[in-house]
Amino acid sequence: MSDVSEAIARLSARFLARAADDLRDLQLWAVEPKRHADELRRLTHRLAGGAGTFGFHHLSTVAGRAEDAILCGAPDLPTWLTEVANELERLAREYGAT
Amino acid sequence: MNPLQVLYVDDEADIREIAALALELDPGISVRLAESGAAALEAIGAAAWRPDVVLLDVMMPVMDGPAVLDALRQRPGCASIPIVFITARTQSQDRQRLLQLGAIGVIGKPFDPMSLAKELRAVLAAEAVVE
Repeated sequence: MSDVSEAIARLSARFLARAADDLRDLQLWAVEPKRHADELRRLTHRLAGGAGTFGFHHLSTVAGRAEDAILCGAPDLPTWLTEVANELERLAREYGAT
Repeated sequence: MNPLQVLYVDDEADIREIAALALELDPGISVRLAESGAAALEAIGAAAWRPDVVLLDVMMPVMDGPAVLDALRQRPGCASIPIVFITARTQSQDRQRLLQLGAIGVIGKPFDPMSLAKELRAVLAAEAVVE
């Protein structure tokens, strides 16, 4: 296995280990999304950029849509935050990170 | 032939680590890392070192990518250092805005670690053709 492949595997595991914490934060902040817009933007931005690099493409996509919705003040923000939460929950469950 | 000196700037430690390994898959690339805009400016100001290109994350706390570009453009001897932005926001209007700031290219996040060096080389080659 190359250094890059090893690093991807190791960092993917670390990414997944954070999924449960990310989910908790997201659910907390999503209750008052306007008040926590900065925190939500940082989280969705990190997920959009990082998840895809480590192979979690659907999470990357929905996190990017949530980030766009935050930036635009779009009315469908709760829908995208729910999508992100569902995907984090699925990954945490599937990979045993909870 | 001297390796291409790349400064990769990103506030996410895991992404920096992957990017460095990915870029150095190209034996002609040497990478330095910076965890913030301020650290990037400090690295570029270090004696006897000047990157051939800066690969710069757009959204970083305190000093974002465009602010780093602006600071470099105003610094004597650094104004011509090529900047390539790396960003999760890759819609055409976002790319256009970043190019208008003076970047020579934009690479999308998430990036494929196996092709990041090729993407960077392609941006640099396209810039050379334009020049």
